[in-house]
Amino acid sequence: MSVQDPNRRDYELAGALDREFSVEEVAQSITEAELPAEELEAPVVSEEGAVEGAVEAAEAAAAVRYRWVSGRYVSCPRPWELTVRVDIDGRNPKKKVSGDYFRVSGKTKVYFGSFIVHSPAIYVSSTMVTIIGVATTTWATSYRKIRVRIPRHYVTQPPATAEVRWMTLTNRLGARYVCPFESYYFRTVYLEQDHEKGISPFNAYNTGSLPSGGPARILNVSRSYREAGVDMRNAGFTNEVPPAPGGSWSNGELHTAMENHFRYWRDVPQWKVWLFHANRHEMGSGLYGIMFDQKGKQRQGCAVFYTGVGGTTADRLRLQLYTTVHELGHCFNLFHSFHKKYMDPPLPNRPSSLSWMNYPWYYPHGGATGFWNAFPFQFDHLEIIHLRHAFYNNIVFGGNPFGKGAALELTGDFAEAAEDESGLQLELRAPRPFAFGEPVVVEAKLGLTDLRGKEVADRLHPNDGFVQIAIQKPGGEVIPYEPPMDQCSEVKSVQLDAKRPAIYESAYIGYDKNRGQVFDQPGVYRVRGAYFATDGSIVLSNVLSVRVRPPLKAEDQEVGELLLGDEQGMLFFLLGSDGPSLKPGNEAMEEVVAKHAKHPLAVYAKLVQGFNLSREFKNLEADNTMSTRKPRREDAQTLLNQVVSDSKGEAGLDNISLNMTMRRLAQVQVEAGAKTKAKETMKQMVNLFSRKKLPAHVMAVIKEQAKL
Amino acid sequence: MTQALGDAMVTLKIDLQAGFSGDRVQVLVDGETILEADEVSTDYSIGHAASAETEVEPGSHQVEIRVPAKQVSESVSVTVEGPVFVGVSLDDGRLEVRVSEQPFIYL
Repeated sequence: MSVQDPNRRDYELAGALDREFSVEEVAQSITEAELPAEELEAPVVSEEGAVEGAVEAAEAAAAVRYRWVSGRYVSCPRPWELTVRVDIDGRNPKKKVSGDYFRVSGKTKVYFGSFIVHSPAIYVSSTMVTIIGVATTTWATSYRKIRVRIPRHYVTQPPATAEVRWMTLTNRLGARYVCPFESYYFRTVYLEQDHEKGISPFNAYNTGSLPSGGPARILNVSRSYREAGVDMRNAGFTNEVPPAPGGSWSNGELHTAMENHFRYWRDVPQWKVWLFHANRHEMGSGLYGIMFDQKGKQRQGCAVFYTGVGGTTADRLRLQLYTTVHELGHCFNLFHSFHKKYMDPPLPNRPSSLSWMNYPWYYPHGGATGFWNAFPFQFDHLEIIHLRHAFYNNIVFGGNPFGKGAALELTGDFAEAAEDESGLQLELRAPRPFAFGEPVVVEAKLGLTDLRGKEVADRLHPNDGFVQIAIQKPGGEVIPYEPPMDQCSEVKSVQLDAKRPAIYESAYIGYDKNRGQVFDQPGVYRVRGAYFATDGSIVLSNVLSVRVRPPLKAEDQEVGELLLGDEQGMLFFLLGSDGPSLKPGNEAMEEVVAKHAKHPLAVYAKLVQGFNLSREFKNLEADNTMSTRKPRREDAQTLLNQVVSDSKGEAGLDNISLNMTMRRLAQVQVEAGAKTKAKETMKQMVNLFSRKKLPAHVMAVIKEQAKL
Repeated sequence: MTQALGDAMVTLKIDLQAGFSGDRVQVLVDGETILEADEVSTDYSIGHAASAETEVEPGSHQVEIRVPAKQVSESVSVTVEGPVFVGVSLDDGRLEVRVSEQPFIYL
C-alpha cells in the first residue's frame, strides 16, 4: 500500500477503478495539538507507544491490513433511525459523509430529512478514524457539526460500529447515535427486469471487446451500479409481457404494463425499480430507451427498445449495456450530461463528460468514435456523488419528480411512510363534487390490511384527535385542519377482523378553528388524513381530490353565500345552536329554508335546524340565570323527514350522515311518544341502505342500529 | 445523387428538442405552417418536445421556427437531396438549430 506524499495535501482520488485508497491517503495530516481536547480518548500512539502523526500511522498500518471504514451504517431505530454513509476510503472515494433520518412510530417509518458533509476533516490513528465536519441539512437545526468515530478493525475482525455525535458550531453536545455497520455499499436497490415476448434481453458485455477508456471486465447492469457504490440486486422475478397493442408502446401503455407486471410496483417512494426490455416505442426506431414514468410517484420504471439497440455484435451489446444503465440513471434522477442546466436547481452542462449519461454522438472530441475510445464505463464524479449521497427524496424511486433537486420536503406527520406494517389502511372518500357553499363532508374508512385482526379506537372524526386532516387549497396553501373545538370523550376500542374489517365515520371539515370557512372558492382541493393508531403507527390516507363547482345560476350563488358565513360554519360543526353569537347564521339558515326550500342545498339548512330543535338548549344568561328552550320535536321531525326525503336519491346527504339523521329522527319520535313511527323509520333505514348494496358487515351494523 | 424536378418527394423532419417549457411554437417550411402547437414542453428523459414532418421536393427550402410569446424566431435554409433532419433547441432566449442527414437518436 503506497503512502501519500506528506507535502501534498490536495491529491487525485477520482476515476481510478483498479486502485484502493487507504484512509491515510485521504485524510489530512494531524498532530495531537490540532484535535480539540474532548476528541482525545487516548494519545495517538502506535503499538510501540510513540506519539505519531498520520504518516507514521500509515507506515504502521502498512504492516497489517485494516478494513475500509467506508460504507453504510444504520442506528437501531426508536424513535429515530439514522443511516450514515461514510465515503472516505476504498474504491473511488468521494470524501463525503451523508445520511438520512427516518422517524419510527409503531410499525411505520416515515422519512424525516437528509444531510451531507462536503470535505470533512479526517483524523487517523492506528486505532480510530475520526471524521468531523459541518453538515448541510434539509431541516433547520443548530446542531450541524457532526463527528463520526469508527474504530479501525483488521480484516480478520468484523466491521466496526460507528459512533455519531452532533454538536453546535460552538461544540455544545447534541444527540449521539450508535450505528452498526450494514454494507460496504452506500445504497441497496432492487431491480426487476421484464421483457416483451420475442425480445432477448441484454445480459452482459465484455468491455475489452472493443477499444475503451477503462480496464477490461464483464459488465452487466448490476455490476455497473455496484462500481458506483450502489448495490443493485435482482428482484428475482422476470415476466414475459405480451407485445404492445398496435406493435409499439406509448408512454401510457408502458406505465400500465409497469403497474400490471412489476411485482413490487406501489405508488410510494421505495428502492425498487423496473426495467422493461421492449421492441419499439411509438416514436419510432430513433428512440433507444426512455424513462417513461413521469406521472404519480415518478421514476419507478424505464424501458429499452431493441428495434434501435438490438443485435448480438460487440458494438450492439455495448449499446444495450449503455442504454440500460443510462435509462436506470434517469430513474435515479440523473439528467443527460448536456442537459444539467435544465435541472432544478440547475448545474452547468458537462458535454465532455465520459459518462453513462452522455450521448456518444454528441461527444465534442471526435463524436461517437472518440467517446467510445475514451469511455471507462462509469458515471462522472458528480453523478457518483449524487448516487451515493443525494438527499433521499432527490434520488429514491418515487421521490421527487424527475429533475427536481432539493425541492420542498414534505416531512412531519404527512410524509409518505417508507415502511408501513401497521396492518391498517385509511381511506378518505367524497361521494361527488360539491356545490358552491355546500358543507364539505368526507367519509373516512379505517380498514384492515392484515386480516389477523387489530384493535383500534372507534373514533375517526378529527374532533377526537385520532385522525388529523391536511387540506391543500386550489392556490397551493396547505392547511392542517383544526376543528373549532376539541373533544375529550370516552374512547372505546373495537376489534377489526375478518367479520368486521373496517369502521366508518363522516366528518365535516368545512370550518377551521383559525381560518374559518375552508372551501370558500370553486376549485380542486386536495385532502389527506393521518390516523394515529394505539401502537404509535401513523397511517396515511390516499390524497382525496375534492372539487367545489362554481355556481351555475343566480340562486346557486345566493344560497351558497347564505351557507358560507363564519356563524354558519360553526352551526354546521355543532349541528345547530341557539347561541346568541350565532344568530346571523341561524337567520341565514332560516332564509334558505323559507325562500329556497326546493334548492338542493336547502337540505343542509334543514339538517342543522332539525337537529337543533330536536334538543333542548340551555342558555346561561349574563346575570347567571339559566333559560331553557325545550325540544320542539314536531318541528324537528318535520325538518328531519324532509332531509331524509331529499337524500333518497343521488343528491342530499352522504350515507353516513343520512344514517345518523335517520337514527336521530327515530330517537326524536320515541321521545315524542311515537314509537311505532320510530320503528317504521328504522325499517325504512334498513330498506334504504339495503338497496345501496353496501358490504355485509356494514349492513350488519345498520341492522343492529335499527333495533330500538 | 441529384434528383430532377418531379422526382420523389423527400422527408424533411423538424424535432423540437431542449429548452421548451409550455411554449406555443410554430414551424413553417417555405412559409407554410406544418406545426402549430400550444404547451410544447421538453421531456428531459429523452430531450425531445415535439416533431413535425413534411415531404418536399429536392432543393433548397426555408425552415422557420417561431416562439411568439418569447419573441424569438430562427430561419435556416436547408438543401434537401435526401432525408434531412433539423433539431431545434431553445437556449437562453435563442433558438439553436442543427441540421443532420441522419435521424436524431434519443435515449
